[in-house]
Amino acid sequence: MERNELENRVLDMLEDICEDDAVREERDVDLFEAGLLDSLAAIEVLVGIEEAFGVDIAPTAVEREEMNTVNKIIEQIAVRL
Amino acid sequence: MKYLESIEYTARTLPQTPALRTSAGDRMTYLELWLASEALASRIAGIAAPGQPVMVYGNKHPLMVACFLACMKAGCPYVPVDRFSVPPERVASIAAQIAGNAPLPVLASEPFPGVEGACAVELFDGDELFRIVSEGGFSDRSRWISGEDLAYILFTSGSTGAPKGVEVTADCFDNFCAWDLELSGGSPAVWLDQAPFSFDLSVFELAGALASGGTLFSLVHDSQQSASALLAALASSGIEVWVSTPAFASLCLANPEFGQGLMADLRLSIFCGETLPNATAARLLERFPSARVLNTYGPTESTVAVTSVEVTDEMAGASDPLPVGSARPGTRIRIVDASGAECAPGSLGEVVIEGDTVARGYYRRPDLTERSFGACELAGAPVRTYRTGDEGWLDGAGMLHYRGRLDLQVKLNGFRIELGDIEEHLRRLPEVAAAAVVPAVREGRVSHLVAHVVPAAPLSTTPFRAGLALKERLRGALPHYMIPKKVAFLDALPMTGNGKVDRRALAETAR
Repeated sequence: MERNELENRVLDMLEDICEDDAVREERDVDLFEAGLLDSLAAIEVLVGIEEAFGVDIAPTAVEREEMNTVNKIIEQIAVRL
Repeated sequence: MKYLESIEYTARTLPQTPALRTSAGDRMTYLELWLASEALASRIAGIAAPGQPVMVYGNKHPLMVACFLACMKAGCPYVPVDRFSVPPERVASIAAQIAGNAPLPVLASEPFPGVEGACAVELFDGDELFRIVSEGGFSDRSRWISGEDLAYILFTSGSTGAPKGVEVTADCFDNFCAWDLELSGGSPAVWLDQAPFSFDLSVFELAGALASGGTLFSLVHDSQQSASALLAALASSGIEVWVSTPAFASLCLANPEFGQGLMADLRLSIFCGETLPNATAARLLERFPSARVLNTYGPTESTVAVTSVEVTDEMAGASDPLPVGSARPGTRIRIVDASGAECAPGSLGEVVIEGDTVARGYYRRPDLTERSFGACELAGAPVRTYRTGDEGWLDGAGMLHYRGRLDLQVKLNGFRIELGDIEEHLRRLPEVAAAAVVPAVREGRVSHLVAHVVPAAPLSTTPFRAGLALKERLRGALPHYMIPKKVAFLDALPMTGNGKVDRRALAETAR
């Protein structure tokens, strides 16, 4: 998968879960601190990643600091593809 | 008070039984808990008159529970405040409401933020509490609470921006506790303690575990911050009775390890605080074949919960939402219309709770108390009544079915929130001209809150950044679960024909 396509699909998913299109621009904002993700929404992200990319990330496999920004989430998928 | 006597009985007959364990490794036996609360009660009685509320501040440390018991023994209602759910400004607002003539006693097992000049405080920090416990002392039994004395005052979101304190009496507590033991079988068990002590869901396990000679297993804040820490804590817990909001259970269910293999001894799960989705119940029954699932319902004003039903596979698998159950002995549920007249069986109306666990009222708020509380007779005895503001109906079997709220209160992940409370805090900010907060609903449940804000001056940055800044301002004043997920800026709030904010129109734009 092209990097561009990966990014776009992640952005679509996060825009949906965070309910805010600003995630497309604000890729280094801490989504938990910004109130856009909480523990439950973070699970939705993991489920969404599995559905969209077939990449299975267990909730226990990543700590919050490893997946708290748009760019970090993209990276976590990229290294597993 | 029966509750204190039950704990005393275990402390005397089986003193080495573990009473409290936390995921941080702290523990107390019944004997230690009893002696600690005796010493603390003696100290509290020396500085506070009977009836004077005492703030107990902390997270899940065993000392916090010892302080609750100590307050009961000193005749002083305790006011539980969780460090991670209640921000400093809110702590100050609560302190101002409960202060008396003497400095307000604050028993803080976590670093106390202070109360910003709200009132004078006599602070006992963790070291001081340990010192009092090690020096020992005994309570004066004539000061123990009983009957209509207050056991605790629990502050919940109020529609005007200040939290309001629900007055739960010793009898309310004992009457609830008797039913709690009936639901759980009454034999000593290890109970999960997950909800913050400032949320009365936690009274399910405080009452049930300690009155039966069982053990409270408390998940400290740190253990709830990552899935791996949470699962590790649960794996070593030995939990037999689970108490949580449905939201917390679905968070756990996202981990495939969460099942009978992780908690082999689990035999009962109790849910309260919000609607239990059928799917969550079904997955729990599947993952924990040996554990029964109970759905319960009740506002803080009627002491934790007043109805219950065991959820069967069939109920969980049905398309109808789960009922919240039938009334406990000592409680009667009535459904009334807007004029207060009884509705025909099966029709929707406001849920009224009558019985021996209805709280005395709101602390120092006769205006609010009069609006919602009343009196009646039940089985020949005088009891209080409470108009919940919840909408529901009773079926032919006397089962209550909950449908939602009649006002601007919402439940988000089990937390009770008055939208007016958030709006008032937004309006107090100089950069806000007008504000309305509406819930966004996904698949029938509130998924998050959206604040619609009319700025006082043109935004000097992107709406996203301006929204972040507003959320940051709110964070100092409101619990984390009350911070809206999204801030939308508008030129004006839409109005209905009669000049009220058109919340329906706002809810549409939130979709």
